[in-house]
Amino acid sequence: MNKRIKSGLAVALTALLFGLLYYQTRPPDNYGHLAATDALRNARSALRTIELEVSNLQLTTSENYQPIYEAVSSLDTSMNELPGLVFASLRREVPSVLEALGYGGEQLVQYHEYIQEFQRSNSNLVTAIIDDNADAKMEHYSELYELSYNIHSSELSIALDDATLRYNLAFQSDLDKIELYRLILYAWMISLVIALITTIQRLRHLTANQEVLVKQRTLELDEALSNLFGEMELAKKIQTALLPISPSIRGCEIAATMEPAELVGGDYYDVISTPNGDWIIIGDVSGHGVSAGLVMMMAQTAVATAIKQTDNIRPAELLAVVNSTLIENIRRLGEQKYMTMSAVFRDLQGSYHYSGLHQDILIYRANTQKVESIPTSGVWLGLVEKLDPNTSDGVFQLGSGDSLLLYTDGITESKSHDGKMLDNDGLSDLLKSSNSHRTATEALSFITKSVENREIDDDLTVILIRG
Amino acid sequence: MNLVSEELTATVTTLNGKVSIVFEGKSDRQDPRKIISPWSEKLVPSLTGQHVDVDFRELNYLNSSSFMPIFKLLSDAREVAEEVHVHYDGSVNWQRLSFASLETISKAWPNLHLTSH
Repeated sequence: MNKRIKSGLAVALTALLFGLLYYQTRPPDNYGHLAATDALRNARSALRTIELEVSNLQLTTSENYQPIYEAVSSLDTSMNELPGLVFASLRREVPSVLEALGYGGEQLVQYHEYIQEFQRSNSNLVTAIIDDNADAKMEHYSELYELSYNIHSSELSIALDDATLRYNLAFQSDLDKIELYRLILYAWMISLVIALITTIQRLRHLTANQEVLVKQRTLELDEALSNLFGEMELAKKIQTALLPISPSIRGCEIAATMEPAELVGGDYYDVISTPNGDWIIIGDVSGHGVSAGLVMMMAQTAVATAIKQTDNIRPAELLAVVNSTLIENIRRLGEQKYMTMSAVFRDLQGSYHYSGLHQDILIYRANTQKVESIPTSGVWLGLVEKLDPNTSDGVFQLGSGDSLLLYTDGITESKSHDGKMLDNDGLSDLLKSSNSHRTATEALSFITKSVENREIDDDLTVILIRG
Repeated sequence: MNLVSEELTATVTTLNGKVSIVFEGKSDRQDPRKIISPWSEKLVPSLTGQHVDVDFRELNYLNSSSFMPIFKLLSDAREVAEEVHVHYDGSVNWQRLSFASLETISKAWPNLHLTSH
């Protein structure tokens, strides 16, 4: 994943996690805020009521005072139910009010007495003013001043003033905290939205880039595949070009075909005419594909070179030379390859000399109408450093109307629908049946068409020679 | 130390001082070295000084690509073992052709013996 996307997602997730944690400890409880505001309002109202009741001199007994005390107590209970830490200071203030009121009727009675005295003194002062009695006025002024002082300095008055002041401070402090909390919440929401928008933008950018990259890579891949298939096609052309175009041998009719399992196969055949006779070579490199095709090409070159450079070379000698070339080159390729190869030489007298371990040589004998199987022997090329060039060659004759079949295992190991291999017996039957066809080409065509519906996993090469 | 793959198995047993390796199934993969070679590289040291029987008669099919690692197994085994005896079914065409090469080579390897059943 793109580094920017990772960082964007990390920021978004961190913000989300932070928000969730914050939410857990400080839930955005709007109901709580309203309840707290109501409670504050009720508290202040209760204080005002107390002050009003006191100032109206109606709170003269503890009996009248009791409902107010209960109202404030219930206020304390409701305050304790308020959520969060924000209102803790407010909750602490309620008991101080109760404490102040806790002086109960004694303090209220004293306060009431002060007020009664104040009113009485005030009435006396009014009388003194009406009478224009200067001494009395002075006396009542002093008295009123003293009473006023007593009223305002009474414990209840001071407690109510203090509580009012502390309520005002607590109310303001809590409002500030609520505002701070709201700001934090807004900041968190904004940062989350920004992180999400950034992530979405980066994802879109990355997606767009990836589409471009995919298109680019697809084009590169297409080009590479095209080059590869071009090279494979070239290798196939080279391999095919190395095969004889229209093979012929003196005194016989010959037809040959090769169908690689992949674009480049490991099968090989060649027909080379020399002044002393004609060579028919067939071979099969283990595996198939480009490396098998390369070994096949090396073999073709080694065979053609050895035949042209050495007069009267025998099949066993030829294979020994080819083996020494192949084993060195296979080693250089770093491949574990070997090659089966049979070299057949038809001399000018019509005798066939052969050597090399490959598939059995099948010969349809016209006079007996039976297929003769000649096993080959020796060692596969590329397995051991040296082959014995003095190994004697095998010899057979091909009579008039006889058919010689050389092939690779692609045809004998072709499978029917039920998985059964054609094997040598099946191929022998096909060879026998093919004899009814007029030419070697037609007979070969019959054989290859007979197996075209079978499962063939390997290169397929067939050479048919009619004597 | 058996070889167990999807289609090819080789069961290794030791009885009366003789190591028996029996191949079964088939091997028609394009690159069988990846399966056979790692197993044979581990197996060969344990064959040192042993009498070894390698039996291919129960093997249904071995493609040309599979023969090279098998050949290397037999070649390496006969270098460390006292004696290596290979059994194959000469009536099966691919077995006969595959081991015919070894028949010739074994003439130069005195402790490698092949028996066609």
